[in-house]
Amino acid sequence: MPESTSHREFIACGASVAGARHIQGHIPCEDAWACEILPGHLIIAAADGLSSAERGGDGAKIVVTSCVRAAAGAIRSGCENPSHGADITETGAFDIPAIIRSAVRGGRKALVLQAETEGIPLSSYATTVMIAILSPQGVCCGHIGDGVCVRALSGEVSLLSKPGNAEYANETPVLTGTDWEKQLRISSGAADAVLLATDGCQGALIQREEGALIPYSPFVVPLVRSLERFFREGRDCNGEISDLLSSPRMRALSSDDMTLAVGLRLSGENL
Amino acid sequence: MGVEKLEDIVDIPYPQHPHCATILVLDTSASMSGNKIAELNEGLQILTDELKEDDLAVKRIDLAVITFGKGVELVRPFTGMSAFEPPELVAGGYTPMGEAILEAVRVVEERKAEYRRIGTDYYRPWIFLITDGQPTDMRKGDAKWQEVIDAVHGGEQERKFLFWALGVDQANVSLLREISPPGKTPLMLKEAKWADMFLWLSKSLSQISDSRIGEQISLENPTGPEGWGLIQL
Repeated sequence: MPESTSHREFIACGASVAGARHIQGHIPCEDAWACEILPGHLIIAAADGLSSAERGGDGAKIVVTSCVRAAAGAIRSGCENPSHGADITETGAFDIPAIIRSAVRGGRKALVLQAETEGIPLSSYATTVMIAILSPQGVCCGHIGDGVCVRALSGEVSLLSKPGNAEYANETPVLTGTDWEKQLRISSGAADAVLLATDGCQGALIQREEGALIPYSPFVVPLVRSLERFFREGRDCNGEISDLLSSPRMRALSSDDMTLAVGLRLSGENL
Repeated sequence: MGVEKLEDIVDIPYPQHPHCATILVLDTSASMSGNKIAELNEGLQILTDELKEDDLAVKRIDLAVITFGKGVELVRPFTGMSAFEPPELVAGGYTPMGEAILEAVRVVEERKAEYRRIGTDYYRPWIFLITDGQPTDMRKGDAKWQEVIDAVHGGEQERKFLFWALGVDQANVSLLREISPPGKTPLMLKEAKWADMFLWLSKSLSQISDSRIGEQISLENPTGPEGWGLIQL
């Protein structure tokens, strides 16, 4: 599990815990998350390796690590050499959607390489992926498959990226699919916090009302506020999220693995 | 007072469960008379009791029953497991299997439309056909036969549902194999293994109701030495 991270202006924390079905079947958790904080940017990713894929859990771990590394590399390179960065717009700002797209491509390349090295089909590493980059300009999320990304700004919560559009609840698009570029959805919005949840716990962040998906603020708002407070108090935010995901009420949502990863920009008073 | 935990601070909503429409298409023709219909009724009771004891299945499985014998009848429309009561089936009549399959495909599509209308997430529906004979309302190559083949094979190919055929006793396995979607070999019930078959069905539905993509292939194999089924080549 990545350590929770802070860099004056940001905190990133999260946890992946095995679902009841995995515990019962002695199967390890096949979700993963990763994060990195750079000056001015927080990068966070979560993935859900498919249980039906032989190495879905490995796929999830490889993808979150390589996506975050690729996005961080692009931002660092742009900072070091702003006039030559491939992901810089004409106005000199980072082209975050382009960085996300190439980070996801990098994540898939890492899976292809791993599958070739091991001599097994790419589909053995089938996994979903979500990667978000938070900056003072807002948040941008790239997403393939189920799971959900929610953003918050001054206590107002919005759905940034909904679960992928497979017809059936137990089927989802994956990064290892040949149509991954078509399945990649990129969404942006103003935010001071971003939350990524895999499908095991997405039911805590979003609810259906009359057919429409809406964010569930009574979960999100106190969570973000408490994590910021816990951080100030020096508590282990990763451990707190892990305890939350392992609680009976969360386990009632689903017997699948659960990952909740949170990135937030500290309010001025905490800088 | 202990340290404040996130689970005491945040409001965790009650779970909203995706639904799995499952339909049993059951042969109640005259040839099912006697022990077979009694065991089928007993099996339905076992299936109902088992699924009612599974917390997730109770919340997710919607079960319907179509019979074919004295006509084709939707004897139980889709009903959640907590309210489902198994029908008491009586044998009689011919074997209008073709019409029953088409009816199952129709009601499954209707159910999915209903899920979409009310905004409920859902799994791919399951259709289980159980028969001890062969259709009397269609012959291989006629228009009804082709309509049924198109509906079943096309439906699976277009991922509209998953279809399984289970044969009993004198079931015409070669016809069942042709009706079944490519790659879905029909299973034959071993003698006196009715209860085991319905226990398998219940376990399978429990797994489906708690599944992710592809896991239907990991269902317990019913054709082992202790299993209830045979693959007849």
